[in-house]
Amino acid sequence: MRRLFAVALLGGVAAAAVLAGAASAAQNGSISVSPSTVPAGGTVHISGSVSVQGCPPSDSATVVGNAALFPPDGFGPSAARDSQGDFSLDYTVPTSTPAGSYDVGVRCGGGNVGIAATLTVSAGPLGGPATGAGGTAHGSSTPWAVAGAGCLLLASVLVARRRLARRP
Amino acid sequence: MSISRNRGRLTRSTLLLDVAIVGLSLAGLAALAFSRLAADSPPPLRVSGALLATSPSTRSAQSPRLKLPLGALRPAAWPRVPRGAPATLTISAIDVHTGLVRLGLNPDGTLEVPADFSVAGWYELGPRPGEQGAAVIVGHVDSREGPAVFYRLGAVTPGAFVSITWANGSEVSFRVYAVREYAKAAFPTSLVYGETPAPELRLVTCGGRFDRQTGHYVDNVVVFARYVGDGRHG
Repeated sequence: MRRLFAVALLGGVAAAAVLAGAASAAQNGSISVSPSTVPAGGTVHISGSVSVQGCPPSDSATVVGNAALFPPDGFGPSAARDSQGDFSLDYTVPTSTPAGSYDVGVRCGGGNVGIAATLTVSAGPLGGPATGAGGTAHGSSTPWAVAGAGCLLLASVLVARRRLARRP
Repeated sequence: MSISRNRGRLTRSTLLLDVAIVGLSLAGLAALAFSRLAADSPPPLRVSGALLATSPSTRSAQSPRLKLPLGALRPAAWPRVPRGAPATLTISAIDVHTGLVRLGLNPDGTLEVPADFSVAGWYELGPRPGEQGAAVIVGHVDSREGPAVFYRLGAVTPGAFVSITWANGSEVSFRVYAVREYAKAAFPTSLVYGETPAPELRLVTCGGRFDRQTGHYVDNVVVFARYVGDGRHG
């Protein structure tokens, strides 16, 4: 009975710890970058939330990261937060930003919130350009070849029939 | 009497057979000929040249006959590229002379392409032609109606000259060193757009099979060229 109680207590403590962890992560906030991969010169949408307990909603959120991503000092643009602490902004990656992966964090009320999302800057535009409409691309030649062979086969069958018919 | 009637019926049916035989033979030959035609006329492509990832010193040592001024590899000798966008592109080897529009990015991060099928476009978020790095110029291989500005790009061979001019009369020239075809699904972004030790140029169009489901070609043809000097060459 005592052992059972101990196990239940341990379980309760563990559950509480997990809940507390989740609560503290939720308390800090969240951030996401969309799309997560973009060429230099491209624009991304950064959105997230900073808890109003940690930082009053009157304070704006400022995105931060590497100085190559947010020149000259690593501070990106700021956005106002709503009463829930949510914010969103668009950011155009400078053409000078080298290809690579960058952390995008957020500051609020003079401190780092301690959360980050990853933004990958590609060396150039994504994929290959769509530079053709197909006007000179001919369809597959196979159906035509099959139709042609079929016609000739049928013709030879008729030739054979004609020979037979000519016989008395 | 009965024999001749019989013979007449025979004649009529053999005549019908003859007509059918001749018609089918002609249709069959025509279809076969068309199938040859359909198979034989994609845009031209000759994959050629070498993509050497060598340092500038080994490159000039390896190809002493290349009329590359030694100083071309020093920034001081690189062209003074005008600030504005390049205006025209000339590839004499395939009779291409076209104006250039400016291209940016689509919202999904892919490269914009010229709205006009008869002109090429310069990717303005990358280097200008003649600046250090790879300047990228793209053009359509065809429209819905027929050949477009870069229809014959795949027929360019190493050694061909490409010249770029600006509205103020400035001109820089490049020399082709390789022609390649890549699947769009595996487009070598770093090789095409990535940094290079000297000024380079990339000409890009479509190639390979045309996928009627997606309405796009499945490959891209890329021509690689290196800066050779100011003014027109070749």
